[in-house]
Amino acid sequence: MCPSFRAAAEAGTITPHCVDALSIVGGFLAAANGVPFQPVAAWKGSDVTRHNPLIARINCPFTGTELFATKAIRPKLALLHAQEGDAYGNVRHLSTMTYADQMIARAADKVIVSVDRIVPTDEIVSRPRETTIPCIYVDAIVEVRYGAHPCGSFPLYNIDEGHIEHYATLAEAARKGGRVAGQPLHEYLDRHVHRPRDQQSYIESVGGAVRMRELEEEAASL
Amino acid sequence: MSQFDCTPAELQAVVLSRELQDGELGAAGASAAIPMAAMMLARLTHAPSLQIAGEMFVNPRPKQLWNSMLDDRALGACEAAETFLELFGHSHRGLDFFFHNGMQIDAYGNINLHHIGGTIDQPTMRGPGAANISYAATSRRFYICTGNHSARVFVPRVDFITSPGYLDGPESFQAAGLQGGPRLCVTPLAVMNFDRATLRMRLKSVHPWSTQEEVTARTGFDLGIEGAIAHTELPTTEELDLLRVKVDPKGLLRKRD
Repeated sequence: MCPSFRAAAEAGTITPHCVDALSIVGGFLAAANGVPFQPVAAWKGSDVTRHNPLIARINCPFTGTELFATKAIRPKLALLHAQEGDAYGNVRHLSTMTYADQMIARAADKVIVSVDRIVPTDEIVSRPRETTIPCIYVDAIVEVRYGAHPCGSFPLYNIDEGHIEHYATLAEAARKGGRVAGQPLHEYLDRHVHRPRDQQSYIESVGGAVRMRELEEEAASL
Repeated sequence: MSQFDCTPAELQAVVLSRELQDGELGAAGASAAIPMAAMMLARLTHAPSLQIAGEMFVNPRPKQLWNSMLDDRALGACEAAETFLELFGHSHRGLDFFFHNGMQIDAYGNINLHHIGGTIDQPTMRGPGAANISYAATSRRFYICTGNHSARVFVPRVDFITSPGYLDGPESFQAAGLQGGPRLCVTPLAVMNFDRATLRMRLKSVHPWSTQEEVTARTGFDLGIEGAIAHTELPTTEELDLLRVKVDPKGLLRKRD
């Protein structure tokens, strides 16, 4: 679990809501379909229903049966990452897992997609069933090499687990120890978040071409 | 523990694998190396037609065991890659079985992953929450599997019900319209099941490296012990070979804490 999220929740600086995948995905699904809510037939017996601004009890308009509804989630802005896309914003995931990306693209007001590489539109047109998000849902597309780092972008490069664990260790120290223990986390943020001018300098700060090559080789070996 | 051939995690995987039936449909959550190993081992032994379909993939074929079940390392090879839309598809059809873990687990098998101490708005310790709660209500049974058997985990009553077990017993379980419920709880020390009448957790067997006294001392509620408790049956040579050679060649379950 992310230590900075946990620390912020415990300090009360953020208000986490008790949502689960079904409430989030149901909310995106409703927004993607242009309806105000998605009926849900689960969640019975869980305290989550009592602490959740997204969940209401409803009755089926046909049978009267009691069930839940999850409210449509319409993000003002969605930032997505995929492996390939074209200049018009047609997006093609090469990864096996696409999670809720297609639904989020349809649910959000504005959608910006970063891709590891821009490919010619002819290549998209040659295999249209592989287009995962059509351009009509995309406001902007931008080529960002290794744009998912420190997460992975399969099958191109692996998750940088060493980097994420390093960050998590610093963040946990900050959570437990306050300001002094938090100094290394500040140095991390300065080095990798605030100081890099662009993607190239960010990549240099996390190990450069040598590290990226390792992550590519790891992904290829899976 | 060194005189035993397997680690606690390996025994947990074998105990769970023996529970799964051929032809059933099940899934494991995001952080679920032991449940995933149990399903893979069941397929290699008595349940070749066991179907695995959770959230957005069907019948994955991982080359090794992974801690996370929800990225391309574990799921890059599978029979079908779906999207999160299938959360609703799989949820409403229901699974034969699912697995849960918890920061707190209580006598009725209720699971807490949200907070310990304080309130949900002002928690002493905030937990991760649950990726997907719906399987608790729609699965025909579920298993509780934890790597930590202590009185801090096994509490009389959870601070927050993330995923319901038997709530407060038969009446409340029925009143909530729930079905299924927890079948077994498998820990590094013991196996517990649930009394059919009271729906309370009770000790079924103790692993050979532990004792009834240790399990009792590390559990925050009464385990309904009557008479002598059997030892958990250890893995057969065949089970352990398959687990180590085919399911977990990198030895994720062999690492001892």
